[in-house]
Amino acid sequence: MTLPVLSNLTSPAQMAPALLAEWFRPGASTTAHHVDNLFMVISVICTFFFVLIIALMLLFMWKYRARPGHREEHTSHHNNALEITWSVIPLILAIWIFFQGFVGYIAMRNAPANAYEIEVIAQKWSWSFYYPKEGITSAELHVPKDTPIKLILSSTDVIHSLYIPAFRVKMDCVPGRYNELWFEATVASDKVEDGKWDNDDQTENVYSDGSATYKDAAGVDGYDLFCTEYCGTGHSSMITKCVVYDAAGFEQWKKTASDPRAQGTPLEVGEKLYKRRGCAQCHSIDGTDNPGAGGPSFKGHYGEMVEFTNAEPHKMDAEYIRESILNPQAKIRKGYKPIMPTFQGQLNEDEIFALRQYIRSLNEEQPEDWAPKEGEEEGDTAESSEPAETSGAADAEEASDAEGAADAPEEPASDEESTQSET
Amino acid sequence: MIAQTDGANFSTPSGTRIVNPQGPSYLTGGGIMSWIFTLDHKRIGVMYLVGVLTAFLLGGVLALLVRTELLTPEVDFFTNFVQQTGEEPNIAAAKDAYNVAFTLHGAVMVFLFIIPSIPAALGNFVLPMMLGAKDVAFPRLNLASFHLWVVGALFFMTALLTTGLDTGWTFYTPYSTTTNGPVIAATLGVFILGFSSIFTGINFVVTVNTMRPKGMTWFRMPLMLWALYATAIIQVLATPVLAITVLLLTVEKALGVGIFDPALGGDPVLYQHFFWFYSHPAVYIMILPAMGVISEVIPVYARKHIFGYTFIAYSSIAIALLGFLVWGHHMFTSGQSNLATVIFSFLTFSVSIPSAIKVFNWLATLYKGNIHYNASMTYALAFMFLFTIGGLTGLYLGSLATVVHLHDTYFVVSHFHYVMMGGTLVAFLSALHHWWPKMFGKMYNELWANIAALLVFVGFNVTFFPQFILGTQGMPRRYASYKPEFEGLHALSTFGSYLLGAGLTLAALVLVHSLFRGRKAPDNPWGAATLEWKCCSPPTHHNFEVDPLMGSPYVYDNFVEDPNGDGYYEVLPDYKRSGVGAPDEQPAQT
Repeated sequence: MTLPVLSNLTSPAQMAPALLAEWFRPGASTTAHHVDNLFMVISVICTFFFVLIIALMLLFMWKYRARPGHREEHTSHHNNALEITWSVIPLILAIWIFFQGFVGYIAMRNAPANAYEIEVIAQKWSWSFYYPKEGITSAELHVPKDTPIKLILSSTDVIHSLYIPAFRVKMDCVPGRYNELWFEATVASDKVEDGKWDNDDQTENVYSDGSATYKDAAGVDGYDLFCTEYCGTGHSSMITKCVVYDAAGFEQWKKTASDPRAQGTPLEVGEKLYKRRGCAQCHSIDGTDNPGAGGPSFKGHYGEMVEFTNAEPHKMDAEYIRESILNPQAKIRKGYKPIMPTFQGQLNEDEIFALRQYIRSLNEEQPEDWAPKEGEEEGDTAESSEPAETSGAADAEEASDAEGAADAPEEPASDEESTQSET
Repeated sequence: MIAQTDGANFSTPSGTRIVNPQGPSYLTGGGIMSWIFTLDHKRIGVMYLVGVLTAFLLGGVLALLVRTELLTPEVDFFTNFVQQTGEEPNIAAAKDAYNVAFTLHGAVMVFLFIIPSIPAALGNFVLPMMLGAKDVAFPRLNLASFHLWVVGALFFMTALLTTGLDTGWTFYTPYSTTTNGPVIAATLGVFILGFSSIFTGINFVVTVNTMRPKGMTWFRMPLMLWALYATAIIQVLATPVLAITVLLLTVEKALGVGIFDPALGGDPVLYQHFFWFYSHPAVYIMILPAMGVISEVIPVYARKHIFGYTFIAYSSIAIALLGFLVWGHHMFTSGQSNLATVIFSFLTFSVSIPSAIKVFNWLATLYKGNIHYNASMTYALAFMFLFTIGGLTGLYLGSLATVVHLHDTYFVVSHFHYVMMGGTLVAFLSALHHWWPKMFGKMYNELWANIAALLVFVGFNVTFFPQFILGTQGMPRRYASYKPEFEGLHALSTFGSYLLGAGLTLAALVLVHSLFRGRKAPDNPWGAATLEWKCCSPPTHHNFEVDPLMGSPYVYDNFVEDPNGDGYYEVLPDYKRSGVGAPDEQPAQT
């Protein structure tokens, strides 16, 4: 193809006038320049035509304004040569813009064969990123830089859309089908100089909607990740981060992430899960219940007998909390809507345990520490995170099976599915 | 009921002055029932006007509520409208209230205001008169269309206001099939409103085809009629698809038949195809009549023949036809195949050309004119400015590489407001000021109407231009709360919306004031050459007591300004009677 392709040009920052550069924030992926270059060029074309049309309009408005002594002059009613010219020139420009957009789009849609795959499960109103090789589920998207990443998008309820402005990527998460999206990040998120993409400078701007999504995610350096398809009450807080590491940092993260026990006490892990996994959007921790659109508070109900619309009254205990997380529609509290999504396969037993300890702590119960795993010393977590480091899929799966079976001795025999995401 | 003429045509030095017979106004006579069951297209038009303006007021108040919430990043304003359950504000319920508000704003503005605004309200009034006819082809169908609109609107509003619809005006599945809102009632409302639109469309197609006066060939019609005709074609062809789509949605929600819901074996993207197959052409239902208005208004106030009549006429038809082929550009990120995406992008660019042609033609019409800055012209020039921005920003959204970033952000919000509001609403206001003296027989205060127009223009730009920047920086649509870094631009936008609201309020006050205190309107206050100005203001029940003299709709030479400042009167130059005039300007014998 001999046609010039715009997207091969250099970085947009060099092409753009200062104003446009400020307007259009810096990209951080290998495909961002496809978007940025074309945006700049369309802006130049638009500015040219806008200035031309408006300047002529203003000139005519002044020069031919009605005033004493001024009369209209008869000019021809049409001029085919002129009219064809101003039809054909925009047509050629439009086709050229189409072509440039097409070239960039194809590059942005065709993932390299060696891309690292991550599954994205969107649901009202949180994101889950599942790393099949390592068996990690995370509330933020963690990726290594300079590596093509392929996201496989799905939704468990309504349509959501994953959007990372810094990478200029967006794709809908449609229930019933898998969509794909790929990108390759070029700048580690803790290296971002232009602070506009992350929240660090806004930590004191506590979000008043109780979701704490922004506030909490601000604890992580990362690029904003938005939901851009309207999905109901919590749409505007369905926001998380994409954290980009260098290769060593990503290995380190995988090591920590694969084991909740490595991340702190059950109470700390539970609190973090509460904020990051969307619990906070419906369940308060100050004893305020939100009937109707929300959910009961985590505070003030532990150990109570609670009533349901579709089941016998039951005590709010370990078993009930676990069931509410994994199969929330089994028992619907009186006065509330059945809107809670399931976290089956998204939270492992350690995480459910941690969440429960967090709820207990809110109700002035003494939270328990991690129960020792079989064959381990209490609190020793080094062993469990090792298999992930090897990143051999077979090893990781074996390890996860073994631990899953041995895990969470307090819990009743867990469902088969619930062991899926464990390590 | 025969109107008395207040004088015969008489000779002046430049020719024979034509005097329109005067008669009783169509507005007077008869009680309330004579309005409700009227077959007079003008009364139906006026009732439509009252209806759509009421809807616009409601939609506008909702827009201001939405903008007020967005003044600050946190959800705070809407907490005033919801029940408190504890000490802390109930944020979840406030967010739901916000979602209901933006849904209502969109649904009311689209289905109750923009779609019927120019075609049904103003089109009903002027279309038969532009043809020199006494009424539309099917007056009873016309009345039925209005009654259906009222029923649909009441149904729609009751459903929306009592229980809270929160799906967005697009009713995307599976959200709409799983939410607790009154989706079935609302979609049935849309269904009924759709039939109202179809009836109007059929009526206009038949009227234009069969009722043109002798001598008015297709290419001697005013361009407003081309635009309304093209619109009517879309209404007749596309609206049934919407009707089928909302019926399927109702069937799925009520009976659990799997069509769109993946849990039942359906496909949510199929809904989007169906929905946009109507709703994209519907965008042209909204904008084409606006283009027709501008093609009428600019020549009148510039005192110039429209430039490139044929290109403008054909471009209306081209837009109507090409508009059916581009619906897939609403689904560039939905996961439709890359091939479909590329084809839809290409077709989208093709539809931009006819719009560009029109702008250039309007511009050329101003050249060497004698431009009168009446309020109607001010709005028309504002339209050219705003529509140019709206059209050009469409290039970013048609182009595949850039749309991936911009889709579902404020860039899109701003783009369609520039086209729908900066385009259609401003053209509607232009048309309203243009035809107001004919409709109500009263002149409004030009100075205050112009001040209102400037306020609307400035307020509009302050409201929506910042939203382009917000969208480019990644601010998603339909967010009740947003990241603090976007606060400055959002606040600017909100202040702009108050300015815009003030401008629109002033425009309304000026017009209402004219009804009570306005000077009596002359028959032809602007010196326009189309036939609706060749009867008295306001017209009689039968519009024309004698058949009007058919001339070119864009030749103003025969219209002479009244020395007493009482509008224009038409003279029939004596030389023309001897057959010297150019053939296309020669008045045809009626």
